[in-house]
Amino acid sequence: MPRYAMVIDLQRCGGCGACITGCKNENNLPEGVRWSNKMTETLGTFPNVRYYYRPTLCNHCENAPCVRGCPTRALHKVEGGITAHDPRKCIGCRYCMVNCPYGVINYTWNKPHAEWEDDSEVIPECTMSPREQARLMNVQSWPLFNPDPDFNYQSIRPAGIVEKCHFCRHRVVNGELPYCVEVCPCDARIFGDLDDPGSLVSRVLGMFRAEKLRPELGTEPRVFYIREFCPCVYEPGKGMI
Amino acid sequence: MSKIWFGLLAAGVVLGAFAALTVVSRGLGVYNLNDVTFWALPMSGYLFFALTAAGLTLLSSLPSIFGLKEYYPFAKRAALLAFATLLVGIMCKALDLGPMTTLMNTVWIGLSPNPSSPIWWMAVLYGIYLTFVVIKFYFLNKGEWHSSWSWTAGLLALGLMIMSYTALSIVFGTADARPAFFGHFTALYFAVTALASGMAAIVLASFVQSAIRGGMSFQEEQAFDKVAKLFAIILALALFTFLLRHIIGYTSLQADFLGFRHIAGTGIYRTEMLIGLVIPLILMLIPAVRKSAAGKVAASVLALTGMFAGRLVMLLSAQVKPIGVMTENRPEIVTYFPSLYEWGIIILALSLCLLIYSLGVKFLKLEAAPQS
Ligand code: SF4
Ligand code: SF4
Repeated sequence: MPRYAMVIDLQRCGGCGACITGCKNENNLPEGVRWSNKMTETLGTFPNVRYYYRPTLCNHCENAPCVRGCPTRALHKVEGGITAHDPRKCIGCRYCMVNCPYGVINYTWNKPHAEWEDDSEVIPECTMSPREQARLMNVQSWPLFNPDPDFNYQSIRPAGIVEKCHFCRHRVVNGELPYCVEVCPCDARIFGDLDDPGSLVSRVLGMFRAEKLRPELGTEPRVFYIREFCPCVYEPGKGMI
Repeated sequence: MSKIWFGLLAAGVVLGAFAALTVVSRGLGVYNLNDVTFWALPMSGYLFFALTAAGLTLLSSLPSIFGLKEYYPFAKRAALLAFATLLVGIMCKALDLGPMTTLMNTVWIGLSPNPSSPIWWMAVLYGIYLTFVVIKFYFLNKGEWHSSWSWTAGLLALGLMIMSYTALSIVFGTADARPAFFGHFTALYFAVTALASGMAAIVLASFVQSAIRGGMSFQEEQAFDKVAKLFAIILALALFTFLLRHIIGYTSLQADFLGFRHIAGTGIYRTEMLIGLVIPLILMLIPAVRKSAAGKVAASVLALTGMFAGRLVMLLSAQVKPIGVMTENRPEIVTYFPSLYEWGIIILALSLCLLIYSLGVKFLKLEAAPQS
């Protein structure tokens, strides 16, 4: 049984957000929901400032507090240590959102993709309505609908339950990479088996000191960050008092 | 009891039922909740009513289980109120889950149990607790004060109250990701405030009934004077834990307590402190006020209002400061104001609870006590 992990190389990451849009398309995410996301920060004060970008997703924690606290085992561990979610069992209690220290779980407050049921023209007397457009494109829910997650999840999850990243389990079990890894134009994401010493993740983790988010909580995240993109230089010196 | 009173309650139920049906058909999108503040007014309704029920269950057990016979005059009333508050509390929680499709998924609590989840224990124990509260009231209503069945049901209701209250405390106590829920300290805070709100509820309910009936028996009056003294002690304890929480929240260096410190500067926090604790305590410490019916009623109304605010204080303290990736594109502290539908659920819960109690007053002889 593999132990899946992801390494994100921040030196390679260009902050383009392809992972975010790729994930939205692959998993039919409704408006306002992001499984793949980012945290940005502006460091320093003008004129010495820098923009810092960190891609985020579910950490598929080894000691996942969301799994421990889920009353119906809707959140559970599956092959390779993936933290999976069963929408049929989810009672919408949101205790997982209380317990996840990384804020990566979303509750679906409204009907997903309901904006495509809107009958009003986007530009009056100029364009068609979203519903008409969806009808002409012969799609059931939204124009970019992807049925693939149905393989072992649910392509579109109903309102009233939570959802989160599942490491594209429907792809991984079929020997494919998670879609965010696939679409990253900078090859900043590396996916693989931690138990295989020859895998790229194992090799890379042997080379660089990796960072995990909030390690003090003991959740043992399986998403690691290495290196940092920083073009900054400064003159060597000892500073002054 | 006046037709106007029942008319008002019926209006509250109809209004609230509209909100509840909207939630069940359309989902929680009608609430002002989001992925940062996702447990707010409906959840605080649950906490308020469920914890008040815990206090009431203990009070109704004082004569039968603990042998404090002087408290018999309100045992039956407290038992009915415990049922009413618990029922509407559970209803608040159910209306905080999602639309009908989500509610149907709750069968998995039984079919796919997770004993490592405190919220699973909470759901199961509250379900069984409600059952025993009903059974206990059934025996009291039959006049079986001393039968072994009645005693057993009372003992089980008390035991289950303690267990479900413990599970509820652990739900918050083990939330390591949110220190501003105050960890296991919450258990202490819940215990004293549950007792305080239970006492406030029984004092208020009894005096309202005696006002309608035109007075109390000597035995009842004596019992309520004792309760008023106990109420003062419990309020003092609650104020002490409140201050302790305040000190922890202000001295902690953890950034997570910023949310608590923000809430501590708002009106709901002041409502909890002043309306819910300080003023009722002062009222109950003045002997003349404590002995008067008006004083007891005023202190109870104020305490209940403050306790309700306190439940929201507790929830929002750990949620107004976004965590993890939720901080992206959001201010350091987010604001929350309940939607009309959220208020509708609280109106429904309150009206239904008062309706059950009022029907009890009208038909079930709540002042009944054993002859010997
Ligand atoms: S990151 Fe959050 S949702 Fe993902 S496994 Fe860890 S605790 Fe669960
Ligand atoms: S919201 Fe769903 S997944 Fe999250 S803890 Fe509750 S039942 Fe489990």
